[in-house]
Amino acid sequence: MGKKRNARQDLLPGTLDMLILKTLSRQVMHGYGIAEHIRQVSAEVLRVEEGSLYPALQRLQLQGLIASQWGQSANNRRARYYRLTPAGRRALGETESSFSRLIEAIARVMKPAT
Amino acid sequence: MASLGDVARLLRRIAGRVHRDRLDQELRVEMAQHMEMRRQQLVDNGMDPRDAAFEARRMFGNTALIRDDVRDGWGFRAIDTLAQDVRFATRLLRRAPVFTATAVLALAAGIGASAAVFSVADAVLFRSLPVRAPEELQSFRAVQTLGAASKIVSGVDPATFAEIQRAAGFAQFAGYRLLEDVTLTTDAGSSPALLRAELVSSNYFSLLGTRVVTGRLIGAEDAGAGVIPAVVSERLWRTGFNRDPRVIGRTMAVNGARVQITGVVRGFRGVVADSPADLFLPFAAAGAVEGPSSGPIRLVARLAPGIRRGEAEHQMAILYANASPARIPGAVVRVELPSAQRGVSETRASLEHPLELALALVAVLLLVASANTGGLLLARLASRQGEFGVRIALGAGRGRLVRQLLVETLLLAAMAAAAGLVVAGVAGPLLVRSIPFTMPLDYELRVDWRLTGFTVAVSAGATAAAAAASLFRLLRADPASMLAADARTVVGSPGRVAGALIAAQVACSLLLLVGAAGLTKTLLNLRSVPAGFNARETFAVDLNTAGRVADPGRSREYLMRLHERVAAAPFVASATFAQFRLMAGGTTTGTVTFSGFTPAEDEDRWVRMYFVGPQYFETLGMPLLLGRDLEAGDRHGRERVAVVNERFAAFYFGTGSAAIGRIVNGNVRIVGVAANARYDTLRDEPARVMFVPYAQAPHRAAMTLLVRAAGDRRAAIRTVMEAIHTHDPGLKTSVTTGTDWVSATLGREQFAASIALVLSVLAIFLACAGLYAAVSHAVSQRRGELAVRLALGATPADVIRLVIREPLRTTLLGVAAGVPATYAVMRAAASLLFDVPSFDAAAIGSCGLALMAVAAIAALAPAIRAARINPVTVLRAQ
Repeated sequence: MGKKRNARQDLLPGTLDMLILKTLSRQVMHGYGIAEHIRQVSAEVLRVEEGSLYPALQRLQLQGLIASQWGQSANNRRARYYRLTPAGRRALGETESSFSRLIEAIARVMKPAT
Repeated sequence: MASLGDVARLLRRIAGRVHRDRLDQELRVEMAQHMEMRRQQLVDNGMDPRDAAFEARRMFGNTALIRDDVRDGWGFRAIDTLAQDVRFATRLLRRAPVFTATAVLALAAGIGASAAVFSVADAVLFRSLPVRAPEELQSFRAVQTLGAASKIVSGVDPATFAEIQRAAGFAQFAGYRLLEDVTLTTDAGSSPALLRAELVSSNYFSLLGTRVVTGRLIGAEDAGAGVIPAVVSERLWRTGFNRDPRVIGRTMAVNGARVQITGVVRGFRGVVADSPADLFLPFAAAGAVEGPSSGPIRLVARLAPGIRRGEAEHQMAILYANASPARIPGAVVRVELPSAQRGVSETRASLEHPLELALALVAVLLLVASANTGGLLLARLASRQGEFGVRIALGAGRGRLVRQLLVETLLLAAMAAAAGLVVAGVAGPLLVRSIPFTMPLDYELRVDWRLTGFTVAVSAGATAAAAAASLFRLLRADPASMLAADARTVVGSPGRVAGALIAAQVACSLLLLVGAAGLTKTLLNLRSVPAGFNARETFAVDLNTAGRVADPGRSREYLMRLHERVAAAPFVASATFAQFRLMAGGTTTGTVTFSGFTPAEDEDRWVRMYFVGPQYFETLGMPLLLGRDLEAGDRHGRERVAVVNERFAAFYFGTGSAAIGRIVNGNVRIVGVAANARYDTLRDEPARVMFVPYAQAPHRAAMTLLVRAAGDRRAAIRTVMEAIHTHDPGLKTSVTTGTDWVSATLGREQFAASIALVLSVLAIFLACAGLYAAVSHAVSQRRGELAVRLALGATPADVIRLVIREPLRTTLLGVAAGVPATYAVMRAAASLLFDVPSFDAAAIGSCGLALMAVAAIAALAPAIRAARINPVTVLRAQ
């Protein structure tokens, strides 16, 4: 895992990979698109330092979870598009379930059932 | 679950490395575009364009750091650090040239010696012929037995060969005949070269399945008349034709006959391993290049599928017995088809044991070299303790330090391996040539992938062993003590590991030295065995009279006239003929019967028979105890006579006088009793021997003229050769002196002894250098302590004693450890030793003392330097 320099405190360690995978599970996207998507969908709560996306993207690609391809962007620029591989989809499923278990656990601790 | 995914990841990573620059470029573009899109959006949202560019960069973050992060993911860092390690190690080694040179030389000595011995062992013992499925090849040998006499034949005449080829359903046979000393003239103007050629059958190359560099090999289409085709070896193509690809079609002269090159055969030098050939001609060329006489055709075979060797041998025996006219009437014929996988070699069997011993000894030397380098590395580590301590304290990973040490040793190993290969290339051929043998040895040594692979493996092993001690030390040490050791100079003894390394070198040196002593003693013992004849003044001229006399009835007269001429030549004291000279390997076994003798065992009837000429005993200086020498009058048609040796007389008749005048084998009268002599080698107990006039025995074309010189042997050789030339200029001859033929029987022993001697000298030298280095190192580490002692009133002699005590004790320990090992080596070499006990206390004692003495000398120099330390300067520097 690369170190997250100046990563916003609002990102739990390890969650960036999951966010990327989740984002790509809907559609093929370029780096900027991923950053925008995370920002907008989380209602600007989750702010990813945009540059730190790229080490994560490379890592995921080396792990075979995502694949990339150069193509034309909407405003006719050359851009690299990332997509989820089957292995990535499986990994996403696993992280999602373990993540939700974690969230539930935290929630139970924070708000003990009366 | 790891496998597939891991492999895929690895492949991606490798692909990533290959495309490193491209990836880097793409990443730059991608990041620049990301920022451009962000800027565009900010502008669209109404931000000032200049602020927007800045804001986009700010939101993106530190591009340089991000690029580094990405590159880490690619895995380039490992390569970068490795390159860094190599650069650093190179710099360090260059800065310590003495250390580097010593370590490389020590390793190179061990590696080079191993590689040289391996290259010889590979050529003689291990390497298969470069043909298709060499393990399927068989050669041929027929043993004809009549009573107790047996004759081994390894060739057949052309008619038999044709019949075997036609009739053999159980195997395919090809034939070849080796021609020594063929003259090759490539251009009209150039000087002729002497080389070995093989005459081959038309199916020879196809049966063997050799490959071609260029052109084509001799095949069935060459059977017809016309120009003689010739195939040259890759070596001749390289040395004689400069790898000229247009060599095909060129004509050259072989023994004056014109031949045309049709092809270059790849790697193959014929089937005879100890006589590699460079030229291959079809049998049809025999008449043109060889003249009318011709020798037997030797066979090489591939068994038909599904045929076992025993079965093939059985069938071949029947076929051979029927086809071969040269068979002794009534003899039992047994055929052997031994494997020809490694080629045919008459000399392999006798070289096997000495070479195996040499390999073992060279492994011991390698141990010495490893231990030596190990000691050097350890000392170097100790003097770098401070550096390593600081680096560990500053947070360097121990793995990184270990890796750096490994890289450094690997660099040393690579240099040593390269030097070792050079040594092997030079020393290997010298080694082969140093083997004195009854025939010249010409095994082909190659610097090929086998040798290189062996050398690399050996170097890696030796260096790993050498580095082990240092690694161990490095992994255990804690930075504090490392730093402390550097600051303080009071260090105890040089360390148990270093001591053990020295002791191991001494033990191995003792092993080699005692082995060399045993083998040398063997040589001396054998040389002092009386041969029983006058080797110093005699010489032999082997004659091949085949085809020299048309009428066999006249051949005796031909030899008689030659004898007269030679006997009358100046400087000749006496001359005679024999069918075999002594100690040449050739011998005939016969049986003895006489009335009143009932053999207890069949073996009791067996005797050696030598067919010899008049004045045989006078010429060889073999004393006659009783009776008379053989004389010219003992001819065909006269009474059959024999001279027997002492053992013969004693075995059958009790005493010599009882033997004289007795009749054996029906009509042979014993007319003399000769003193025992050594007939095969100096080791053998004399056999029971009967000397019979050759004139009363079956004719044989190959005869040996034996001459005793009066005074100057060299002059006698000259005059005898002149006499032979006058008698018959066309007679083929070759001269061997008596001393040569005796020492040729000591070839194995001499070879083993000289190897052991060279290796032990190298080992002792290495051990002393190691000891010297260790003591010097210890002294430099203890300078402070020694200075204090001197300042407090210790005399220089005290200091010398103090310094030298430890290394001497280590040496003694090594000698003690080496003693049981010497026993093992002497047992292994037992078959090469003669009259030397496996546990030779005297030899071990003297070798041990010698080692102690040289160790003392090696340790003394640094000790004296230590005694000369000026306490004031040293202490002030502290």
